[in-house]
Amino acid sequence: MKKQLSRWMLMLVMLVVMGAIVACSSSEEAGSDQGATDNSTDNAENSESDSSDSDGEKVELRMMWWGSQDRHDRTLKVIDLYEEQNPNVTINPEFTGWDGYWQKVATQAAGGNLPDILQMDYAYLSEYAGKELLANLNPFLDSGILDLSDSDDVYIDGGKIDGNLYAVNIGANVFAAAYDPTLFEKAGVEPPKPGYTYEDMKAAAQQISDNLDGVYGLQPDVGIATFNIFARQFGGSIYNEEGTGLNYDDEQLINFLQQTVDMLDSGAAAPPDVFMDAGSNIEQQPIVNEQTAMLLAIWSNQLVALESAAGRPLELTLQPLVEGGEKGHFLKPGQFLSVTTDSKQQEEAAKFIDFFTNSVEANKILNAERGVPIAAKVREALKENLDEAGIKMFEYVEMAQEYSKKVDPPNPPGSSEVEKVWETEVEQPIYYGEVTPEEAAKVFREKAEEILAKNK
Amino acid sequence: METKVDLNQKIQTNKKAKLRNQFRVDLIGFTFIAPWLIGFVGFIVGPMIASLYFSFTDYDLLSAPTWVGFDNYINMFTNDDRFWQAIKVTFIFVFGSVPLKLAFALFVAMLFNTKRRGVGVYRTLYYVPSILGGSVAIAVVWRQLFGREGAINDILGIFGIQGMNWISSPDFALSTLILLVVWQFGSPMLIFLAGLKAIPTELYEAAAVDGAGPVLKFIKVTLPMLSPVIFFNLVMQTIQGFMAFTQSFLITQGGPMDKTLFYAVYLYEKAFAYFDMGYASALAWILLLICAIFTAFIFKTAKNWVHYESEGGN
Amino acid sequence: MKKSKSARTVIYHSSIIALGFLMIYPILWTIASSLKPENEIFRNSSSLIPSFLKWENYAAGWEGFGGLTFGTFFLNSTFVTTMVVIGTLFSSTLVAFGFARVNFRFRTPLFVCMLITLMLPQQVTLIPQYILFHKLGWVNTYLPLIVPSFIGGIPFFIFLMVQFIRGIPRELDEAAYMDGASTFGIFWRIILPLTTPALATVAIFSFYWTWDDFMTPLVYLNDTKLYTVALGLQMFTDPSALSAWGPMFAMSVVSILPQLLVFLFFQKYLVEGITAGSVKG
Repeated sequence: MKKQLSRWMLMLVMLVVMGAIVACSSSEEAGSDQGATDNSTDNAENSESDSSDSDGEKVELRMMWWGSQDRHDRTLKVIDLYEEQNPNVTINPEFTGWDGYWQKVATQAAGGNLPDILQMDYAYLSEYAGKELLANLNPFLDSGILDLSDSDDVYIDGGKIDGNLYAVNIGANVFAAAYDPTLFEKAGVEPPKPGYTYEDMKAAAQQISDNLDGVYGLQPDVGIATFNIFARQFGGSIYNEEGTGLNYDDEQLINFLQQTVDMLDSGAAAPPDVFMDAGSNIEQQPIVNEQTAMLLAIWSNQLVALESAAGRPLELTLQPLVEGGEKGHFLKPGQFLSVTTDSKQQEEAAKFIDFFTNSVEANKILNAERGVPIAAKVREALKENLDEAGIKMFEYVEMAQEYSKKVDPPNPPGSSEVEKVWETEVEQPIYYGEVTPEEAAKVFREKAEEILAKNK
Repeated sequence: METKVDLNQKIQTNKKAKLRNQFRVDLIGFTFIAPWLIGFVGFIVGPMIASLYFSFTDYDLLSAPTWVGFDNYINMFTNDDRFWQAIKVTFIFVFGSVPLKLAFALFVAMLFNTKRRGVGVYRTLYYVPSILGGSVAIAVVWRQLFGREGAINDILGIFGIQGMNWISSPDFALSTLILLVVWQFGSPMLIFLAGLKAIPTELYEAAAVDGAGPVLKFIKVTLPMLSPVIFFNLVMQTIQGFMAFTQSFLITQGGPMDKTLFYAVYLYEKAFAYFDMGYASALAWILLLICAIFTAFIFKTAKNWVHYESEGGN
Repeated sequence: MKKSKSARTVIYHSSIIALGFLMIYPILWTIASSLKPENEIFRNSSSLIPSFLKWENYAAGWEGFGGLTFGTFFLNSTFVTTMVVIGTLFSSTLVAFGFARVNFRFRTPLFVCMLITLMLPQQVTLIPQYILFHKLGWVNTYLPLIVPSFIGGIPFFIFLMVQFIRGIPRELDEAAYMDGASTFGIFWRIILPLTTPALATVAIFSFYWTWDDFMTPLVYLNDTKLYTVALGLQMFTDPSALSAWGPMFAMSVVSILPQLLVFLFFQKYLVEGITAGSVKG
């Protein structure tokens, strides 16, 4: 009896071991880069000046980004191109979709196992830079490894915190509104021209809702980004310079919300029933189905996706202006590339970012999918290359410069929580008429300031 | 768990022999559960204790945790509306979805527990929704189905009912998510089917001899014989209900206005969007406590209604 | 008599088919969308008939990402999933038999421990677990995905098997004891055959859960050559940029097929499982 048992125990152990071996061997090739990153676990800080990477020596880099099929294909081709030109460099791509990307990054950060090059988002920049997970790129700027001389400061400044560059913008966006020119024409309404005001928009939206059957003039938006443009025209912004509090008058917020409440009441704007099932997918906005003639909130690079889903041309225009206000628009870095402090080959990583930014050949492959490139000569070269939606995006971003001023500092730590408060306490209750603008403004200020007070 | 193995009763010679015998039984028992025990000690206990420790700290994932005592727990109960909202939503979800899903699963399993022709095809047909699981595709499908232009409204239109946008309505969003999990009733259905197959046919024959009709057979034979499996499904579905994540995460992201803020989604947000792993860990341990209380309660009542053939009934 | 029986059969079949249509409508929608051109997926979305069949979606989807095709993902998923199913069957039956039939000391507290591990959300043990696996050098291999199944990492299945084994009359064991069978002999020759339907259930579920799991491979696999189907499906779309919806739906449809095959294969054991009664009789 005992004998039999031990025999079976042996088999059990063997089975487990076998499973382990099979699993190991099948992933051996992948395991190889593990060794390189293993040692970097705990010495994130002192790896700074590790520049053993002279030419010819084998270099392996890990690069991580999120995106869709189109972006993956383009980025992979650029990596191939770089490897071709630098035969000693191998770049291991690690790409995913958007869902879960930040969980993966956070887990790797906690494990001290971040890739060398990381695609960054504006919303997370100060959080990661503040925790010293991103390398300061100033030394590479000074030494000329990372050459941004061809890029205007407006494009670069978004990646700076306290004068230190932590992230290189790889696609600039400007906040915009989109409209359907055919529907405007059908309704006999003048399409919005740059410089149009909130009053103009209200009137036009009302007219369209009245003139066309089953079409609403406007998909309203009281998102935090839209309000930011509004507040900037009064010289304010959402967060103050230090990131410790809010930087606008409640009066402005109440006015801003009241406009939308009025339009919802009058039927100029579509009720939430129409646009709330859009979810977060740009392709599911009701303008795609000709249910609204105008979409108030969109980033300039999203026009491509919107047109593709609609199958007909749409136009970009500015956000509505406040009469007599300051310039409110700004050039926002859509995505960044950063070098992490876990990286032992920061210089090589910076070299690749330089290539990604300045190479005309690489950017012809990327084709401004992430937004408008920051290097002037790249932009020039791309203009011939673009399809119609791309040209519209380029032209819009160029035109919007006249209405733009400096970008706000990157969102302070805690901003994603503040934005959630905005969404649940301001934006959605306003759409559904559950709160008055006064109440919403009051609740938001209370809760947001409590969160931001932690940064003091 | 409670009854003693008969081996023990047979050997009552002396204490020593009894002890030796118990030792032998222990050895056999631990050999059988060894795979789980190794995994438990090696990979589970450590991370669990770590998360318990984190729950008493301020830990932002990226720098070292600092001890804050019970602050996270106190905050949760005294100063966090969203915590209470998440509790409310999750309880509604559990109590709404679990009974519905189990009843439906049992009903369909009974329908398919025959030797009629084509049953295999039907079984597959009804299991397919569960295969789609929590993919990106199902998130889009569900939004479209219950959206303003969706098929649900088309069907309602036939009956002259004015449709609406169900998935984004503050009043109905949670109900559509409940409907989604009920629709994916495949896994409890299969477990019920396997359980039904294990019921000895002579029990039915005996009942038929006693003149029992289908309803009586169901009550007298099927329910008691199936009770271990019903019990299992009830416990597991309740636990899984409390831990539900994907439906809300992929389809509604907790909205509109936190009306579908599942507990696990809130926890995820805290951990990975706000970098508050300490607080998230505290949330997790409270959820564990809630699950444990409910499970213990179900186990307590089980004595009265779960019938184990191996233990000679109650 | 005969007439009423056939009438009942007709009602049975027609009501099941009607309900069945509701059950699979979303899948039909997915299939329809996988054949639609991009600008029809979200326009008139409730229509199940594409204006023309765009089979290119399947080609574009299968092509994957920069030379990395879905063929790779399918091979990876098949390997991982097969290993996990084997591991789960292996560990859950052994462990469940131990808990259900052997009266060792600390049985109840250990069983409670096992149930408790079910109740802690993965999200909070993820980080410590990642660090542990990272120290072991397992990150970016399949080990974190496969090994846990061999060492009983999914208590759900253990609990399930325990419930089924407890439903088997003990007289069967005792009769075998009398005949001189060992404990293992009872497990192997009496209990395992009697739990065939439950084993089929375990196989189907562990296959489906592993095939569908997205978070574990996402966190532990870095090299895209190691990615699984669930990860691949998720890489077509980005909520804020141009997404490849058609190919995504196409590959979603394709990824259902292996699961369907596995289900069809194992479901006959659900039906033909030897019942306790037939052995006794």
